[in-house]
Amino acid sequence: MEKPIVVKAADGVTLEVGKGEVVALVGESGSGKTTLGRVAIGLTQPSSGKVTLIENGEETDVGNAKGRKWKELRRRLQIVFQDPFSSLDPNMRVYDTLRIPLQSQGVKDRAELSRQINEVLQRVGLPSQLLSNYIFQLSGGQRQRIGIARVLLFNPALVVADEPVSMLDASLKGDILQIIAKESKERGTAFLFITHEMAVARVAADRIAVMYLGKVVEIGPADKVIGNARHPYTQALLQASPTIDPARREVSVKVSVKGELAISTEHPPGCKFHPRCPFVMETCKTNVPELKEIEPDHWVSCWLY
Amino acid sequence: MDEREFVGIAGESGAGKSTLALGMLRLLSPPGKVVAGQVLYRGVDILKLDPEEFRRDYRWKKLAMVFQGSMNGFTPVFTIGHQIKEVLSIHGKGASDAVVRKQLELVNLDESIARRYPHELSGGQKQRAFIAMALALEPEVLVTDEPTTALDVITQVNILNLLKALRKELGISVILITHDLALISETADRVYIMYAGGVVEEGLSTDFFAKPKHPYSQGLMASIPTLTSKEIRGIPGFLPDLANLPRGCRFTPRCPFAMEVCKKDLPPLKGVGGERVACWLY
Repeated sequence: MEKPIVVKAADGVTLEVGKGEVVALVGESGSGKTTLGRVAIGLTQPSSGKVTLIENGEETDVGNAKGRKWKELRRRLQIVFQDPFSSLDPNMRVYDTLRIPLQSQGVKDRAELSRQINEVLQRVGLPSQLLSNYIFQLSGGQRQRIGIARVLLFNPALVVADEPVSMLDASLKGDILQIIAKESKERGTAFLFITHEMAVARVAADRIAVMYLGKVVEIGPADKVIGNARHPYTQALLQASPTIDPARREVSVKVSVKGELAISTEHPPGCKFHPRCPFVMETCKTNVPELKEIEPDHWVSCWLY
Repeated sequence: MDEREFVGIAGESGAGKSTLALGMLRLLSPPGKVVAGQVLYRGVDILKLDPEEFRRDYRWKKLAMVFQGSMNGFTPVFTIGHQIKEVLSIHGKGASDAVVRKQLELVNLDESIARRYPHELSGGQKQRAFIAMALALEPEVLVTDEPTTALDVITQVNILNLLKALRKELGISVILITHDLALISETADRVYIMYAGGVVEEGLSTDFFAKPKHPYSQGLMASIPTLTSKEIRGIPGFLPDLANLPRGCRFTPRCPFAMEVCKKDLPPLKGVGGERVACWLY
């Protein structure tokens, strides 16, 4: 019998998200960012390692919570999905989509339900006239706002936003990102924002963690990671970021990375990025680099440093 | 559009861009149909041709289209090579391994891809394989609808570079349809901005990006997340219901410069600074 192939979707990742902080996990598909996001809120069990929620001095082990503790955690840890067309029931009215989660929390009084629903709708920039509409009558951007509203009703400690704007038109991304920024600053809600677009991370995030094949290759404050990107993969992602730059019309845009991530079950030895790295050295092929602090709060795992 | 020209058509989802492309290739599904207008291909109105003649001589042979999400348009049960050969033989062209290899080479795919099944390829590889298939009959015009959606940024760059190279090497004209202005800025010679079913601004890329004139175009530009600034603004409001269009300019409810005349009459496209703009401000 063949030895089973073990793929470490997320490998040796240590991450902290503080109150009111927006941390972006940036990487291509297969980087492990979605897996990490799901583990963070307890939707997937890690094969090793631990997720701890620390609130008011009290520590809760997310992976081992049971019964009532688990139910409580489900309120505090929430997720917004990528596809607004498949994550909401199109046949439900907007009002009911928001009423049901509230009622599951024990809010029974009709006036109170109405008040909270109207208030959260305002927070996501939607008019209350939409409450009587069905979800299928809403556009993608509107649905995504409902997806966020639904989550905010729980007053969560942490929200994992899994590619929340990648299916929206460029002109709609801004509004969603602004809602996230506002909620984090005004309510202290922490966000783990998963995206493959650096420009989106730039707008939304306080800190950015770049992931490649399961490993965090660079992490730090957003302006440092973007302004002073050190890891060759981060640099490639920045070069590939679409920008309004008509000068690029005449040329083949050069992204200094070879090939594409074809099959993510084939993790190379040593530094996982080495087969595509323009600066590859001998040591990279066999030795795994560790995260090193190259300037205050800015860490990179690369043999160049 | 001219030979070897790269045209970008931009606008939000629902603006009518895909519908325009499908209409051009006579691929609108009923009850959709073209009720007015012409599509002149080297002087011939292809909308008026006999359907069989159009299918035989124009669709895929002169005008080819790579649809949105077409990388998922491959049948999972046949190899890529088999599917490309099928397209060739249906249209009476020699379907040999050599031809398939040449097509794959055009899109920088190794010939071994011909023996693989679609599920074995990455998103970017599938997209390129589909482009290879669309080019199999050597069309003069390639229409691509959101060719990079759902692909990662690095793959996105590779696909755009490919489209630019194909234009240069094969001399084809390319139409790129997308909601992402940044992609258009990096590729197109000429830009058309669509809103709620109509063209609101058109012109050379250089003129457009130097100074977008229509308030909607300006809004689109301001809403694109870039690496340089943390500030981005959306365009308030929503697309009008196309079944229930208001009188006058369709952008009025969302326009920061709306005037009385905007609510009453639909502005025509008018020459403004080298471009054509449909707006009462000019």
